[in-house]
Amino acid sequence: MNLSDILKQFKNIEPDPNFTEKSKRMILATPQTAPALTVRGLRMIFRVLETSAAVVLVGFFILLITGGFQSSRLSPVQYSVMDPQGLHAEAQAVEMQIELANINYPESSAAPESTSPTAAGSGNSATSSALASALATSTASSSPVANASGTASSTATTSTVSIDQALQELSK
Amino acid sequence: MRLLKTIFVVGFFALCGAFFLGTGVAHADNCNLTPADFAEITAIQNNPTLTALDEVKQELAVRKDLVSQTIMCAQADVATLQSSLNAATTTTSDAANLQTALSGKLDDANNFYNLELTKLNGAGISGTESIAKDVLAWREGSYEPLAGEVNNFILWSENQSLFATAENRMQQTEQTVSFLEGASGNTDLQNAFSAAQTSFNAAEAENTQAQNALTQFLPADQSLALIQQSLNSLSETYQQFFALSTIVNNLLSH
Repeated sequence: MNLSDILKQFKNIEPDPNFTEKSKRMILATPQTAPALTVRGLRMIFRVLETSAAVVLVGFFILLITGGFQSSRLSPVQYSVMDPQGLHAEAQAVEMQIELANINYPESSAAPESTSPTAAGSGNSATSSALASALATSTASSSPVANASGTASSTATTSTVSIDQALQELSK
Repeated sequence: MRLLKTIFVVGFFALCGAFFLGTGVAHADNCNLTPADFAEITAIQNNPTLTALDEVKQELAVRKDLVSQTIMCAQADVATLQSSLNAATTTTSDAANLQTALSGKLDDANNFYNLELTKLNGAGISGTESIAKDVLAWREGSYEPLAGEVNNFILWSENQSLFATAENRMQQTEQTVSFLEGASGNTDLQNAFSAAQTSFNAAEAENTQAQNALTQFLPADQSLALIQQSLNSLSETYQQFFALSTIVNNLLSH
């Protein structure tokens, strides 16, 4: 029998079944010692912190990319806020709004203005002249802002009669 | 059968189209009353060929038509104003509540006009005159102040985006000024910024006062004056921004 055959026979070596059973029982009977509570707590806290830090970091970068810190001290100094062209555009928008607000005053005060009444049945030409004078003197309107933007429907023009003028005429 | 169905559907839509087109034309005509329309009354009164009864009948018909057209025109005016009001953008719940309240008041105005139109059915000549007088007085006493309030609210709402833009610019400018002041030691910068901040604070305070005036339904002239003041202060803020811009550009060019 050469050495090779001897080594091959080693494959057939098996432990004693009684010993195997005994060892197995001993292992299973050994109580499992859990890690200490403090260690588990620390691990848990560390995991939570780890996750939170990741979330915060991702949020920070998202805000940084989307310009979320534009108006805070974290954003880089922007000299573009002093750009005269941008300033001019915004200032012009304010001026336009001021003009729109100023239009309200004269038109509001002109609204109560009305025709000078003429006696009923005094003749066709008398009625027409009263209305004509009203058209010449009054631009009565009930919605000054809407008129300023060209959307009102009741504005008195040179060819039509305003609502108030019509009512004035019809009330006599 | 299918052909009949098609004819029916096409006919239905054609009728609907004609109806809406007709209504639109009628509305357009309502708001285009001319002196000639009113001269018709005098022409009837002066027509020697008409009997007294015919004259009354014809005059009544013309008067009813004119009063009706005028009231419908006034209703179209209310609808236009309400549409502008509802289109206004609001950024706060207070402003949204005010918008709803004003829209409700315009609904009331429309209901008033409907009521007057109903009265017209059984009215005689003096009745139509009385209705015209009532509507005229109501417009002067109630509708014109309401229209003023609504217009002021629309104006104020439009201003809010200007204030938001200015506030954003103010914050960014503060950062730039604080950095440049630290780097250059220029005191003019801080002075100019303080002036801008003061006028912007005033503008914001007046803007809030204008909102309060609108919420409390104060006379339209008062809220309009506050709106104008706030805009003037905002304009002044931009003048300060221009002064700041000049100082910054000078510092950067050196």
